[in-house]
Amino acid sequence: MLRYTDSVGVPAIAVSGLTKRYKDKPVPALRDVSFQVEPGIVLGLVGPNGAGKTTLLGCLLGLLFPDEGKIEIFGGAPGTPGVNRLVGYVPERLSFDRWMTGQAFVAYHHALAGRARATQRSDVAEAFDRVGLEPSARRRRVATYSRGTLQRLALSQALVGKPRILFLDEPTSGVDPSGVLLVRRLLADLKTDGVTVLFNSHQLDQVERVSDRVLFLREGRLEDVPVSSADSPRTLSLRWLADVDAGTDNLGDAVAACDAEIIEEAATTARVRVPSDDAAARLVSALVAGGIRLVEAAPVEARLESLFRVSGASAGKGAA
Amino acid sequence: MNFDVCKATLRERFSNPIRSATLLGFALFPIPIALVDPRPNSSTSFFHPLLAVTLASGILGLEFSSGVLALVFTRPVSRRVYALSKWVAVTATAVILSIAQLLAVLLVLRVRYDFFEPEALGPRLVERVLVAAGTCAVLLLFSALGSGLSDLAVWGLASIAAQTLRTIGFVNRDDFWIRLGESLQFLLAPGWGMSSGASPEVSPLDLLAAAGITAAALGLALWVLERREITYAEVRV
Repeated sequence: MLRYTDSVGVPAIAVSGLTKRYKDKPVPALRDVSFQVEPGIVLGLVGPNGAGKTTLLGCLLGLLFPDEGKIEIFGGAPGTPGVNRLVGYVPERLSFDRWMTGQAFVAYHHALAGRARATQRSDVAEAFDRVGLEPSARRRRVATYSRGTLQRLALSQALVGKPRILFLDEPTSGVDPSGVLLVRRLLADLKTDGVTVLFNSHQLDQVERVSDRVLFLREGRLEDVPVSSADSPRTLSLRWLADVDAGTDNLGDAVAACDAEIIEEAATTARVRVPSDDAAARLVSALVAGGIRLVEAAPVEARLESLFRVSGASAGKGAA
Repeated sequence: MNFDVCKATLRERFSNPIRSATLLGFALFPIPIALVDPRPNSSTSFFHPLLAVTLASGILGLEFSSGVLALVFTRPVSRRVYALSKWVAVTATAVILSIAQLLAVLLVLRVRYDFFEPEALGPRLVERVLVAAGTCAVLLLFSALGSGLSDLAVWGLASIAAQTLRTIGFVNRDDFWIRLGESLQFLLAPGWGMSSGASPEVSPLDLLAAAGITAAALGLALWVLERREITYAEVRV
């Protein structure tokens, strides 16, 4: 059997000139999309509704067939058994075999993933433990699951095959904060394990927090967006306690000393534009040192969000 | 062949209470008929293809429309092996049920009317196997082309059309329409009626035709499935 993971220097994903058209749509869903992803990278995929994100995922998974171009996953063609042995997938719509119990469902996918039957019990238990699915829920039928439990089940089935590459389609859509935190923690763990992750999400702050790299899709075209740059400017929202002993006279001085700029100021709040993360840290220190009883210093928007707007593709504009 | 897929297919089929009840009804209904009608074919010939239809309907279509296939096809099981495993599972079950039904009816006829036709048993068993395999293959093909239970609708409508053609032929005493109706019915349930004559025997031509239709339907179903894109546009949640 070809062992794709042993191939040194082979990208996890290599896409060149990918074009995909649907018969009932005049405009291609994807147009000449090309990119490469190195193994072990967490790649975020963002873009407005109808931009082609799910189509791209479908092509990468071998569920949709490109009209032009070439895709390779660890050097193999998507959708083939050899490549699928390395793949885990969490679909956006969590529509599973509702008649099975959670335990039976994940065990079934363990078998489909070609894992050894001898390790099934321990692998399934490990997958459930990783996502924190309660033992009582494991024995219930999938039809009785809430959205949050379904999400945990989806993650379990994706992990049970020990994938080298994981595709997540809106993994935090419609789930509660604990579900969001779970995904964030899992992504960090997977990255440590060297698993390549491609995830599509509308939650830009999530994408920014966990991604090494972000691809931005708009009208079927791809843009590589730099993220997590500590040198990018951002706006901070500041809030402090009203205090007769400590005035806010030092605010202007501290802001000026950090090459920042006050955009808006009120009695106990301000919005300040800082040129970098380093400037933001210096500003907070200066404010505290200046006697301002700071209770909040938070980014007004994720960097990605601002890039999203700069690209002229706010969600409302692009909504399909 | 993938035995995990076979097992999951059968568990899914029998997890639906409506399907299970329908199957039980079709399996048992010929027995009370046999108690009042001594002719072996009159009590069973209508119901045994329906066992295969009940077992195989929606075999892929329901998974297209539920979105299950999108997940399964990202696993290292080829589409061909997946579909064949499902077909084997429902065909084997349909054969077992169909033969059990035949034996139960023959037992009732033997006890009640002292009817026993050992020379007809072989042809009847062959017909049961061919009809089960062929009908499941035809439904697999319809299911690969559509979604949900559209395969059942197509099979049902085509069966009604076949019966209508036969009726037109009988009313007008025109063999052409009768043969057309029977041919259509043979396409839908390959082998159906092979052993329904007064002295049942399996014609090699019928055997070849039934096996050929089954193989063609299976091959076409796999060809369609290999080329079918899986999109969420047809998924109903």
